[in-house]
Amino acid sequence: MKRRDFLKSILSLPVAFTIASLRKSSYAMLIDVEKCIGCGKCVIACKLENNVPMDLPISRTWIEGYFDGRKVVMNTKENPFLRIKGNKGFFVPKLCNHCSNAPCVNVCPVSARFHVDGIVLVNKNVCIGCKYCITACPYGATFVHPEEKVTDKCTFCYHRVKRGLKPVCVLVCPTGARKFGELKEGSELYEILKKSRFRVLKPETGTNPRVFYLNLDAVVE
Amino acid sequence: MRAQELVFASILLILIALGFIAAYQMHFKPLIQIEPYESALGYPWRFLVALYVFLVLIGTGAIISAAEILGIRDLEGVAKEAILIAIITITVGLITIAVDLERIERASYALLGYANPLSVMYWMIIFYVLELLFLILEGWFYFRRSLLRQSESKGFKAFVAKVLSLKFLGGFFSKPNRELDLSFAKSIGFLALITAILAYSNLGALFSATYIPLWNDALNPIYFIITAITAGSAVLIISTITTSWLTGEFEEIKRRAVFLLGRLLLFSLLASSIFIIWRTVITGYPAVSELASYSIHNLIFGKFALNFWFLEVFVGIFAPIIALIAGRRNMDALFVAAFLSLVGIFAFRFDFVYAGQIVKKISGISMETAVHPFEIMFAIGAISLLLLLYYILYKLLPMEVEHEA
Repeated sequence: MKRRDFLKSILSLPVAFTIASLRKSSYAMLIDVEKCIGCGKCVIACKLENNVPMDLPISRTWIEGYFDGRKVVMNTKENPFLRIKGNKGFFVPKLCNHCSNAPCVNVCPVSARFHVDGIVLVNKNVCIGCKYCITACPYGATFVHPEEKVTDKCTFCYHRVKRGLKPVCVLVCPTGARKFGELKEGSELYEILKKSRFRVLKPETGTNPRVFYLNLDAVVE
Repeated sequence: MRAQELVFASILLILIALGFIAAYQMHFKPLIQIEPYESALGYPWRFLVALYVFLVLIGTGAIISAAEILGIRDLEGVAKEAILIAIITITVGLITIAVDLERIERASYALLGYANPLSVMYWMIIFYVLELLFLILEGWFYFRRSLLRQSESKGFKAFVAKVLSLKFLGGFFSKPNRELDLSFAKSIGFLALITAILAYSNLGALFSATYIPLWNDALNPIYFIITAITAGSAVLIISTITTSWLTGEFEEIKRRAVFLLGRLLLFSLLASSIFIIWRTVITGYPAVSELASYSIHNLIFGKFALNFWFLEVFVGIFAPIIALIAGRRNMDALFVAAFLSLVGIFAFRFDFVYAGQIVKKISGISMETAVHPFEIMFAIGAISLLLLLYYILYKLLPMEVEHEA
């Protein structure tokens, strides 16, 4: 083996390791930050699909807009990005990262959170609303549902996925910034991840997220 | 019952009713929304969590501080108080945390059928339930001889003693057995002490096992135990001095216990101050992490600065240490020091819970330290319930010191 090939194989090890660790279970999401235009359709569609109150600042998915170092968040029907003029910015959709090593699953005292096909789900009939999962989640992706009085978060629209449909945020995105699918050899997601430099949020927490980002600025945590 | 006692009990009952209304408001058809349910953006753990941590701290601390069970004879004088205070504060603490749950009716799920042994919170629930059971059992054996003695007299107190001692069952229950009772009380008391240490250090670990920089500290469990000793000795000093003042007699054995507790208080305050200094320096040290620095900056220079410097450091540590050193054999100084250190410990719990979460900002939205009036109403109700239970039980139970123990 040439030295160049050897170094290449060494450098690709972390990527291979991440993908290999995800093989057991399947679903994942890939978000191309360059394609997101901050229209907020995903936020509204998600709220409608999953009965999350439209006007409260809680959402299963939200968009962070970064303008000259300032962060603005869209998590209600109103789009705050439309008010910002003259500044260049970029948009980062966020949601539950469906961590393989999910802190919320570990800390829940009543086993209300669990993995199915790699997706972290909430058993709303069991959740006691202690909110430990909210404090444990490094991504701030979980909240208390005001009507159901249990914790709530993105489920990758599992009720749709199990019928062969896409999550609603993926479906409505006009630019195709979100891609969703199984992470198995030969799948579209697998091939893109294999060839691209992707990032996950807060890798230092060791949660092994299943939401991958392309073209993500280093300023985003 | 004297007129003053009636007024005192009535006021407490009114305050308890207010607390009940507040709990009802928080859970069923609230007239005013608590907050726009923005837990992910705001503070998921709020005032009631701080209050719960404070209450169970007192209960655990009372048991650890009055470790009469370990053979410290000078603490015999406060053994009954310690058991009583521990049972009451842990019970009210558990009620408080149950009220903080969004689905209070599912509070028993962790014990019945849905346990997650990987969860630190699951173990917290288990340890506190066990601790409460052990304390009740220890108390029963510890009080049994006095209860049987009291049941020989006449009136309501005798009836209560008969019921609590289970004398009506006859046989073993109707005859005191000094050796057996003491040996059971000591064995179960030892288990209660172990579970108390496990429970409260586990509570420290519950905070540590998160991504929140101010909480993520492996020393939390040890620090929690030290502050438990502070709170426990402080509460025992306050209760013993107050009850002795009210009853008009201060037994020598109780006086000795109070002086020993004063020394324990001083030691634990000195240990606490070392922890506070190092936690502040290490968490805020530039090389640690930006988030950690941000959280500690908020604590010492930001929104929590007044709480931290005035209530935590000056009122909670500095002033009591001065009072304890200056007035070592003075009951008034001990009382003041104990009271101030309790205020400081509550401020610490409040700051710890709130300041920890301030950095968990997903949205860039500035978070305000919010304590809703209903939370304060409930807290007043909970403290009143605690006082009323202590008052009633102190009146009904045989609280005289068991000299031969």
